Amino acid sequence: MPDYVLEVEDLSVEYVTGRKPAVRKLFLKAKKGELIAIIGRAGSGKSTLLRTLNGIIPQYILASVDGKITYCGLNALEHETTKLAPHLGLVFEDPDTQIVSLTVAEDVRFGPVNLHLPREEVLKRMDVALDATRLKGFEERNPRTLSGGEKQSLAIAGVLALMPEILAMDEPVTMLDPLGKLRVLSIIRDLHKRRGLTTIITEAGGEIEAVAEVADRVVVMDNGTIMAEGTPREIFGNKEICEKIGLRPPQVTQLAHMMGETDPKLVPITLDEGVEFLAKILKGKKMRPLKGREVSPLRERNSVIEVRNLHHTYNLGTEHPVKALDGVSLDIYEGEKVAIIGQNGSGKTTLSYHLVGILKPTNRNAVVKVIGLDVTKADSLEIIKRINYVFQNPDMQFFSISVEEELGYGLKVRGLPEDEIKRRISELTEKMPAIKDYMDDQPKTLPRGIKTYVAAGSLLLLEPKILIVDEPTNGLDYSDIIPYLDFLRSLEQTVITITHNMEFVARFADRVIVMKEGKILLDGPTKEVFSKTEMLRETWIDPPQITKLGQRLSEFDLPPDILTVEEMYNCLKDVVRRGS
Amino acid sequence: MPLFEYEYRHTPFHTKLNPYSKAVLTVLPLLATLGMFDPIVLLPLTVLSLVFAVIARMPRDWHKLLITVTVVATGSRLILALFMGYAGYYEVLPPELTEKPILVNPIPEWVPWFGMMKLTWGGLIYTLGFNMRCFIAFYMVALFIYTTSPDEIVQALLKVKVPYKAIFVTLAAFRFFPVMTRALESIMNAQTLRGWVAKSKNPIKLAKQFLPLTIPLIGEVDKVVDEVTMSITSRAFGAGGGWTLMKEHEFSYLDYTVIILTIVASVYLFLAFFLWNLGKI
Repeated sequence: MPDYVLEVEDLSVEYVTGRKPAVRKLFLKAKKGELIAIIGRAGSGKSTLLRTLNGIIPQYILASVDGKITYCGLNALEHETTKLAPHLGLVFEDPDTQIVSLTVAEDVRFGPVNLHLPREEVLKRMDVALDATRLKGFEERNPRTLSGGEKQSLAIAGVLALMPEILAMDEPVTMLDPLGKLRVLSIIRDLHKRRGLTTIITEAGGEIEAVAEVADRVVVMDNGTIMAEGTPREIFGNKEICEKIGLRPPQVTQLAHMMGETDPKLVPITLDEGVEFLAKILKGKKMRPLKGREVSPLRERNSVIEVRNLHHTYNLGTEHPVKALDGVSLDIYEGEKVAIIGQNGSGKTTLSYHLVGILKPTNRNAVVKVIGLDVTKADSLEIIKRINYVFQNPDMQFFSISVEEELGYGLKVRGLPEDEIKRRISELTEKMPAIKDYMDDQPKTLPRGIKTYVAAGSLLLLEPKILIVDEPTNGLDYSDIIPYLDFLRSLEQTVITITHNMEFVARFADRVIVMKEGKILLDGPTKEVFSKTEMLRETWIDPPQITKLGQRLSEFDLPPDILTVEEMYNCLKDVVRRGS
Repeated sequence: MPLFEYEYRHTPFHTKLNPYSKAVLTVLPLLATLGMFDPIVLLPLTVLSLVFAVIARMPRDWHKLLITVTVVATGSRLILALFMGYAGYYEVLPPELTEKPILVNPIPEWVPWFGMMKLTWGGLIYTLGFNMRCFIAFYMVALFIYTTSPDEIVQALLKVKVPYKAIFVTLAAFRFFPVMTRALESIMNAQTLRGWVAKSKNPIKLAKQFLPLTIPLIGEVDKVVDEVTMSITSRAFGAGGGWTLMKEHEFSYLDYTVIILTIVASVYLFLAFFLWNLGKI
């Protein structure tokens, strides 16, 4: 009889404002020390489940809850969240909202101090939590000055200091940069393996490779219920299950499926298994050189963005100046699809804010020109005729009562007649069929994927020649990412994205600019940049799993610059066919 | 640099003074000078509050904002000052000064309402005094926020038996303001890039033009309030029925000196105001 630390029986949750139950008749059990990954798209019910486990639902978010949740001998539905917190710790997706104090030490000890523990015990727990999350030495730092990964580590430390038996984390790596992801994943692995903590993490699908590496058990949720449940191998390795529930398996697994491997026992799930799997197939075979994506030579196109010797220092004149840009120079050409990547704080956003005039250079001889316009001196109304910026969080701009009004706002401000606005919106919806059915809906209530289109659409109607898209995949399900990516690629405009999603970069960008400490470290065609593994390692950027697979198998002459599973399959099928 | 957020600095205000002495230093002089408008009396306090801010190494952005807020607050008083040419409004200042116009009023006195408008020395002194009081109040409150961590405030409130709910509100407010200033900045950037400008002279139209800022901001306020509440409760807020005091707020010689000097100075100002009309105009 297994020792279960958590039992969820027949759980149903229906929000007061909801049209249907968010969780329906759900059963889930967790063994002591088990790491469960709950996978599902936005709205599948995974966050609702976690918030019900620690009592936030129904105590703070009104909902009707039926069923039973038991852990640590408590029926969770009968106790207050504050009383449940020492038993089940919940880490939210956005660490910024979870941090309540203004120094790391104060934040970590917030929980134990609230439990009214003796001072020595509080200090001991703080020490353990800081150690487990590698935050020793950060005690006096203001959490605001931490990187994304460090902030998420702090959020975990704050919960760990309560010494819960179960640690639940809602999409813990979704909002992080590559280094942050590595840091947090390694902490999760460490807590699970070395400390035997029962852990539940949720994931929307973007970090499936990481999930496959760490999870003992995968639970796939959709529409409030569990669609499938098993070990990562049982779930990802089974092509039929993946197709049936619309789950994207890890890239190495996708490749094996494409190559016709159907036996879940033989299908690779992790990168190491993928290397082993392909090495067996490729033994004694030679590759032919592969053609990359055709990109017209940069110099043949017109430069639309010219940046020269751009410096920007935050807090200039204070005792803590922060150098964000250190002499950046670059040209971006007409129609290019560019991705700017790098760690948080590398200068990506600062650079792009200069391009739209939100920030001004802090040096006098900087040049920032967009289609001939000096944006350091230009009026914002002039700038937005040339370039615009889609922010990460669309809710920051929505204020109208319908999508149609929201889309037309910028044109209305420009003084265009109503019929012209309607005509342009109608043209836009032809290019963006996804929003057609939502024209009368209130923008704030839209599904996240549609919000992204509306935010981009409202700016595209202003007809900029260049569009900057900040974190285009943030908050999107994998199923939404590919159509959005195709849409962005289909635009005639020059599109610049700032992103941490390397799979998106691989599929979207013709050119990649890698930034580090305010400087451009690498700049070139995507394939070329991703093949420079040593330099990428300097910035902790992790290429897509499929690229790493090619690089690990270089002894078989596999190209180091393969960007997609399809590309790898095309490269291999020839060899496999010849071999067989 | 986020505004209204504590930041650790190695200054006497951050490290040597405990929250109680800082609270006394902030509140008592403000109470004692509540009715004062005489710029000569308020000048030493104005200079002192600026000196304190410099010692506490308050960031430049805070100074910019505090001065802007002071100027805006004064602007509204300047309009009031235009109608303060009547000597009867002043208790101490002589009528020949309070009624003496600075600018010759171009509008004849017989014109209803507008004819009363004139900028006199009395009005100017009043405005200057009001300006200094705003300056002192904003700077002293900002000094307290900048140099006292929320944790210290919570611990200090607990020590004096303030109820949990009140502490919860204090804590949430401290988290709330920096987050909201950042959100407002992001919203303004997003809307400016959609061509948003507020340019109407009609106040109703102007209010309508601000909707693209206010509606998303209200949405963010709602979201942040929910998130802060959920975060704090998920971190076992109040679960132990008490709170571990991590630091005994011991009173150093500096604390005693600050408290005694502040009380003595405040009592003197208070009595002098009533007995000798100190600070009155």
